[in-house]
Amino acid sequence: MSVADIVSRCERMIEDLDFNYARKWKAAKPSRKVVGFLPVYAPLEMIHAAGCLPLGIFGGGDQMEVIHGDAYYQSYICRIPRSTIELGVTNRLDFVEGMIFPFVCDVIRNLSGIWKMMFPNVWTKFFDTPQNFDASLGGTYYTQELVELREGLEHLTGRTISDDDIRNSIRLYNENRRLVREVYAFRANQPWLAPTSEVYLLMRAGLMMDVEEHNQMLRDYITAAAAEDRPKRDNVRVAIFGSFCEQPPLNLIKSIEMAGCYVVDDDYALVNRFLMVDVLTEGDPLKALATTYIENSVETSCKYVPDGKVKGKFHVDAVKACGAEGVIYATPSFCDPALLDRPMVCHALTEAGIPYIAFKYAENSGQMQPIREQAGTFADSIKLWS
Amino acid sequence: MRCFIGIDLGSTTTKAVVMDENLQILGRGITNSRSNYDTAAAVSKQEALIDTRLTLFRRALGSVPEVSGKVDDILSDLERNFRHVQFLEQLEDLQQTCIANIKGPRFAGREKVVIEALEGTFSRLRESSAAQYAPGVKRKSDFFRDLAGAEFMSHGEAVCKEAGLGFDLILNVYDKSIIEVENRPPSGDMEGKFVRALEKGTMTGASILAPVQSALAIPLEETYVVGTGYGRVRLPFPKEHIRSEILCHGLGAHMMYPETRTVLDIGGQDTKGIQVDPVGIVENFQMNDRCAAGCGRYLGYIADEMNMGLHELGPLAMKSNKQVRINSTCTVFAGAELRDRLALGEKREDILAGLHRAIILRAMSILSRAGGVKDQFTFTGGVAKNEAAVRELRKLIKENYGDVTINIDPDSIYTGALGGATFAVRAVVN
Repeated sequence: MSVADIVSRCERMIEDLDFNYARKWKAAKPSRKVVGFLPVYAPLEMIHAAGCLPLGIFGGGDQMEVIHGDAYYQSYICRIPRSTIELGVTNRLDFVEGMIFPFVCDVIRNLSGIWKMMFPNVWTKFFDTPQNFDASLGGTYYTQELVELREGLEHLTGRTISDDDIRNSIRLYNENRRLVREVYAFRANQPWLAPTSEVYLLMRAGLMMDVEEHNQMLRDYITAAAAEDRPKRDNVRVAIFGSFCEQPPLNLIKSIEMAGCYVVDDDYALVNRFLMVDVLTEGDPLKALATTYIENSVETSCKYVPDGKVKGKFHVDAVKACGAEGVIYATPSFCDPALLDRPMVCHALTEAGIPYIAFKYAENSGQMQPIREQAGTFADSIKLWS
Repeated sequence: MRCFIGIDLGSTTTKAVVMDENLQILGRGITNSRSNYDTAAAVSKQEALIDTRLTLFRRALGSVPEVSGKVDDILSDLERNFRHVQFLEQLEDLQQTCIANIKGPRFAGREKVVIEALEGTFSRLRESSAAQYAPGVKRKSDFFRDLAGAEFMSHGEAVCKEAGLGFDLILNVYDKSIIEVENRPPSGDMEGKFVRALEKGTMTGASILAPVQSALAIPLEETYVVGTGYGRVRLPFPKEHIRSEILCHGLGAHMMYPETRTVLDIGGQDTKGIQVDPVGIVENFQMNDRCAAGCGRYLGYIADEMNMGLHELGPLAMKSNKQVRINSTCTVFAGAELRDRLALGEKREDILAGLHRAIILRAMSILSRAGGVKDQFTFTGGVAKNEAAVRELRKLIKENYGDVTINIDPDSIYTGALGGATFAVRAVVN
């Protein structure tokens, strides 16, 4: 498959607000069920092990007209819960029998409550990840949360989920994470061959399809992209932080690139990069998932960092690892976690001598001129400084 | 006779409605709010009373067999002459005010020439006014400022040129004086003006004069006045005579369409979704909370951006066959988004169609917050006159709420004042 074929397939999937891929997947076998999940992280292995398709629900994007969703929230919150409700009330998710709302912030937690009331026939799980990263406390708590998740999924599907089932799924997702890291490394190395507008689509679509299919797609993409003949431009290398939950419109990502930036690291739709290492496939699989989460997951604004002195160190290290020359801290409007973190993360960047800019967006932002203006100025000034 | 009056002091225009005790509308009046709510309220009230007189004339002439079939002509003739008399009276006031305003160093030594130029200009204005008020002529505006202003420019410039005088001198006096004249409360003696209009007119037959004069003799007693709108705190009424806009709009919509249960009002600076009960009392409502995005002003701003008249936007948007999606919630940013789209080569009509859709989507969102749309649904406010906005609204109402009767009254601008007048009747009669 060519790069263009892969990318256009991914784009069609993301733009399809009726989720025809998932509908077809479900219709193929009578016992199949689809379980939706929201950002920022859910253990997809568990859903997969239950024989279900994990379906990433990342709001409605910029093509969704929100008519009823606004009625459920005050005006000073982000857009993703509104458009997610709109997806629900317009019956676009009527085939989704389970929904997992991971802890991101109060808004998403409340959305899980709203979902329970609005769609009483859907199994709705508020998946409360720990904020204590001591293995004996947070780890034990998280294992218990996974036990409850397993019970919920078993109840939904009417089948037992064995440890072997989970270990098998972990193997597939380990492979997925390894390939995802490979794509990211490929892009950091030769960003002109793997533009972020493509990588982003590839990752987002992966959260809506069968994991094995996605694994193959990732392999195909690396092969095809490496064979592309694309000129290297005089762009600056930037890392994007703050965009882990509500996603920017594709046009925004393209605008940043068109303004002269190569994005060499990002936190877009973190799910498949949340765990940074392979999960053990021996022993208790739930404990293995919990241990990896506690010890080896990314630092993001929905995770509490008790030691203020190391706050932002993760971001500085990430910038150094990918060789970025600057950071664009781009957050959704009204995103409490990202915006409350912004001063601290940006302070750490300043201390480390890393230039940054910061702006806000919404998933339906339509006006790209200010984005091009800011990203372009940033790119030019980095070149002038060096 | 007892008259019940509702006055709606809006941010752009001030409206008044006069009702009788049987809830029949007798007259409507409108004027520009001119940042002077006291005068605007007085002028709109007087305009509504003038309209009331015309209604009384119509009733009186209705029983005269000789004029049957000609009442409309007679009344339009009478109104035209009345407006002319009124115009000349205000013109006289403007001339006196202008002359009084000729003072200060810039006129030193030139007072006489300037006065002559002004007199010459006003004399031509009086002459040309006859043509403006000739039968069948459509005037561009009903407001004195607009009518006098345009004529003053053309005549003044010509007079000054002939006299070898700079036009800016008398323009400066005019600018200062028109504000004073506009802000003076209207002179009374409406009856006297009608008498003079009758004399000017061509209908002298006793069969017309007698019934008109007897209708003119009916005293119009201002029994109860209710004020609403943004400027309502400026109204010199006791508190119980003030009603909120939402209450008045709800009741006004009920008066126009008694089966109304949901009202959408898109005005200059706010959008309201209102639910009313079977007697027109508000049960629930929602207003735009962040800013004026998605209100009438949004379209005004876009019209300015595109260098078009407000009334031209709808028809152009109707020509679109590929709507562009506009997502900015902010009026100013929508303007930027518009320029962005134009720069990308999108067609004006397609962008406009998208902008109309954006306005109506925001209104739909407010309606959803207010509890949805129930049958019947009444759409009021200035935006209800925009065909492209109405088309999108019809589409979205059908998609989201099914078959609902949608009422749009051409006089919907008076909805608030009508509700106010109804409250006035209810306060006294019930």
